[in-house]
Amino acid sequence: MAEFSFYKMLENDRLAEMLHQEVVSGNDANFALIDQLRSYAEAYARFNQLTEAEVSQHYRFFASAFMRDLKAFDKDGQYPVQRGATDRTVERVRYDIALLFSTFLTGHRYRLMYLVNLHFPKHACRAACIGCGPSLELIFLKNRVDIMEGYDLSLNPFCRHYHPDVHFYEKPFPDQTKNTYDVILAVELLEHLSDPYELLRRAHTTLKNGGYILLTTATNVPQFDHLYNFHADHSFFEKTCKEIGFELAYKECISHRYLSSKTAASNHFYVFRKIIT
Amino acid sequence: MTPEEIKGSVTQIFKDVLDNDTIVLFRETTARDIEEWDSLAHINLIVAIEKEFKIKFDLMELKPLQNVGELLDIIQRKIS
Repeated sequence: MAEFSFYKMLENDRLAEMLHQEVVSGNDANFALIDQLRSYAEAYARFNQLTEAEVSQHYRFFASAFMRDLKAFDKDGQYPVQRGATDRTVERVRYDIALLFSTFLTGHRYRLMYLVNLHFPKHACRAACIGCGPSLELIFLKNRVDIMEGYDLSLNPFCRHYHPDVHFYEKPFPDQTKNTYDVILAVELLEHLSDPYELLRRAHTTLKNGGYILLTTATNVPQFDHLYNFHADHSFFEKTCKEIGFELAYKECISHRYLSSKTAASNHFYVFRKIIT
Repeated sequence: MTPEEIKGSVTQIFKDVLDNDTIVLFRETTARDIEEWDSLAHINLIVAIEKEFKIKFDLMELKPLQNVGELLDIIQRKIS
């Protein structure tokens, strides 16, 4: 069986071709970064012995399910879990495919990767990626740190295979000793927690003075496993982060574009610095 | 093809792709008027239109389209 190729996939997947065209024609298109994202996704597909048709099918399945949830959210403003849909699960591989391929098929996901790449410190001694999932970000971050750790409740074996130099832990981010990390990544994580501020407090404790946390929030993104919907007005969030002991270094609102949805969905990307005490 | 023939074909494509036989298209029709017409369905519609009319759209051609009327116009231009 020939090895998976994204470009071969595009020959039979006009949806993916059009979505990819949109990303590469964006004003922030960084072709070196896009190439890294694509190569990693291809490596994941090959490791898991997926065909082009299977990847296409996985991506469409996830996208279709989200469109249905978005339509339902348009009507009642409720996330699936609020409607009682707590038994929906997605196989890890299918989820990873959606996460990986969306970084070069979806504008807002690409923008997130772009910002993480741009704002991650040029060098750090020790960093932790909480909720690392398929661990895509680590391809362009791990060479900037001496020690990189990845935490997630469920990890595909691909992660350890591709990143033998990263310390992975298949468990929740634990209470750590104080002043451990120079940088913490919490990208597309907080909306999966019922109490995101609890994690932010723990992250604050484990960061060194002056250390950074790069994080995102999600507003009106009714994905099946999202538990927390951040208000569009992030003043409460920013005030709480300040109370925890963070100062704002950078923020950007990344709007999602959906054709017919009445919902204004977005992610906010933040860089906070632990206030030096 | 006449504009009416193009509209007829496009209407049938909408009915097939969106699985809704009651769809009636007007030039002013937009995605907000048809419940099934979401972002994913939009690309499926475009793919089906490309196949039916043997044309290929460029992303830059599609982005400014505001309604069905403008879509029909661009199809007419491409097949002429």
